[in-house]
Amino acid sequence: MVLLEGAGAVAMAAAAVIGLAALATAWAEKEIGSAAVGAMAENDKIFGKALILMVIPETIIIFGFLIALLIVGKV
Amino acid sequence: MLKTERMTRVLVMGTMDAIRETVDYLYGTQSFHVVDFKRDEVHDIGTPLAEANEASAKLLKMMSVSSSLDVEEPSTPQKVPVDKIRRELDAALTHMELEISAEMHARKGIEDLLSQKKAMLASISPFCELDFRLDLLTHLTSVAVLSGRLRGNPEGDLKAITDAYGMFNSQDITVVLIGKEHAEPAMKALSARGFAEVKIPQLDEVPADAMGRLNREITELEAKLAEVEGRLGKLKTANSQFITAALENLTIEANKAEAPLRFGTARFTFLIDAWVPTRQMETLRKGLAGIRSGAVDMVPIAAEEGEDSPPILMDNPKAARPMQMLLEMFSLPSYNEIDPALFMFVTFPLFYGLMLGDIGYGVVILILVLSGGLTKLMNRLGMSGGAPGLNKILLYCSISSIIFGFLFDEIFGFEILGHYFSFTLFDIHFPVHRGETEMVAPMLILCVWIGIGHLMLGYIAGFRNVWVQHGLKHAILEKGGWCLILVGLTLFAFSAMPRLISGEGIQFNDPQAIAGIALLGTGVAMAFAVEGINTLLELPGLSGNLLSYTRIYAIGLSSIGIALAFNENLAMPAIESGGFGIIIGVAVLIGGHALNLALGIIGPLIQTLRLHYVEFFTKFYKGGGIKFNPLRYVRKHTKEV
Repeated sequence: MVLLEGAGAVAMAAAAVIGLAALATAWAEKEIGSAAVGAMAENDKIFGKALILMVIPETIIIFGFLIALLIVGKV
Repeated sequence: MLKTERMTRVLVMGTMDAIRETVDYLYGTQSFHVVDFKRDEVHDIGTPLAEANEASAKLLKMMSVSSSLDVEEPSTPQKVPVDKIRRELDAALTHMELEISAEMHARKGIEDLLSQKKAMLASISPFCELDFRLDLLTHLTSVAVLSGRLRGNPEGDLKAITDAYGMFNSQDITVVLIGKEHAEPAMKALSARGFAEVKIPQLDEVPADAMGRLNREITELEAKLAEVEGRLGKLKTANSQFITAALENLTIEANKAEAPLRFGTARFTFLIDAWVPTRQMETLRKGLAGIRSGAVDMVPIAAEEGEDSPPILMDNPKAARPMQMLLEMFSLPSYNEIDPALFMFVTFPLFYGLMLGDIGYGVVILILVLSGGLTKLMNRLGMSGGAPGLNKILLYCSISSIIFGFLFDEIFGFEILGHYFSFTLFDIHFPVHRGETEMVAPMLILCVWIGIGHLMLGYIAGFRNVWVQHGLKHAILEKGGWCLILVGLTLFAFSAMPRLISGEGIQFNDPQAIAGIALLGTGVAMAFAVEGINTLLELPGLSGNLLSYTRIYAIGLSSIGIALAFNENLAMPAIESGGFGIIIGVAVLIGGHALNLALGIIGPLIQTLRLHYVEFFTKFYKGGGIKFNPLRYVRKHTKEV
């Protein structure tokens, strides 16, 4: 039995890829962000380092975005 | 440029009679980063100059005056001449102290009285409806008086005990007079209604009269208090400028007088250990030699091994200086490292412009920056410290956004300009509509190429850093190896990726792929020789770094997406429906683009910063420098004549 096919399946796959990647990024950044704010409350000179740690997981969503583009556009 | 300012460690030495002029000279030139002196066999830590005590004492007094008057820094500083402050300080201080202490004393007395009267009023007010003197109730011998608050009317409960009782019941208070022998059961009955006792105040007046008198007295006292406050307020307005200026001057004088605490002194000589910019050496030396015809001299000394590294004073062309703020936020370059502010001066606005790339948003940001609106916004958010630096960075970024806005043909997400102007360069037809499907692949590839270039720049900078720090061989093996890895990976990826996507599979016999793998292998072997297993661990990271640059396109696309959604899906249908719809449509346009602009300022800024901090800096930058912090002062409210 085929549940999904054609353009619908492609769109669903792309949506799942970018959605799940976004979820993963958000989850990781939530943990890091709260720790970073806590550390910055102790010493606000580490803003630069905290920012780096904070944005590291953003690469996950970028990968998700690329895969989604590849799926949709078959580029 | 690229290098931080070169520093020389110097010893300044002189005779004790010249120490005051030397301190003045050091502060005047703002070029001496003093290192705290460590006691040795000959020299002890210096003692403050004679005037230190006086300056600190006056500073303390002035601070107390300032805090009791609640003086705020005037927003438009007028500079008070220093000699005027010196002339008038003592008289002004005595005068103000006297006035303030008299007024403060008066205020304290009035406030004490006021609070007494108010407490009295509060204790009487529950009994205001009783029309007899309250002290009649407090001298009874055979009758118990129960006064307090309770729920409802206790009449029935009391009747059950005895008929011989008197009761006064009002909203606020219930007073029961009952024979002493019935006091206990009556108390029980009242307690069942949540009785809470209220003490009857000692008062030889009828409550209503007493309240009238107290209210009159309170009004009078409040008027007097207002008078005192008014006089204090006048004192504040008349003197706040002088107080702020005097505080500034006294702080400077106290700091100067205490500077010898960081020097070494023997009986007749003093010794100052400091870093100075190398290129100012000769001027400074001549200047010091001029003090008391040669009583002071300065000699360079070799920094000892393992001692603190030189302080960092970044040295960039004026235009690139705003970028130094981004380095200060991260970590200052160390002394032997390349200062990347100049690279960032080019790449930062470039990436930002590629991401935002909209004439409309660029112009709005430009206006916000030039009109000072952004500064006001940042002040309101409590981030006033970063405002001047961010203003200049955003100025560059907005100009770059406008330029890319022309190339991408975007004004608030609308493609208008393309109808009027277009040109072809390197076989590319401009303007490029980057939101269109056929532009996705070329834009992504462009982003990866930008990444390759940026990382290569990072490795080259890293090559120079390692060369200076660990020698040429190490640099060639480590950073040279990584350069080869990057080139090899690029060759291989551009051979393999198109085939992988088209389903053809990777062709390992393609000459480009072979060359790529060969370079990659050589590079890994070279870097492995110095870094060991770390090279293999960092290899996947490099491809991740490269793909990370596609965020340049991704952020731009999301900004276009939001603008399009507001323009074409929400605002345009409303406007086309006419009438009331036009108002709604315009409101949606303004609100939507304000939102997108806020995202458009913050998003590209953070992402561009990340591409620099994470991807770029990890290739060459370690940081950890200490800021050059010379003896100096800033006069905002005073001036030397």
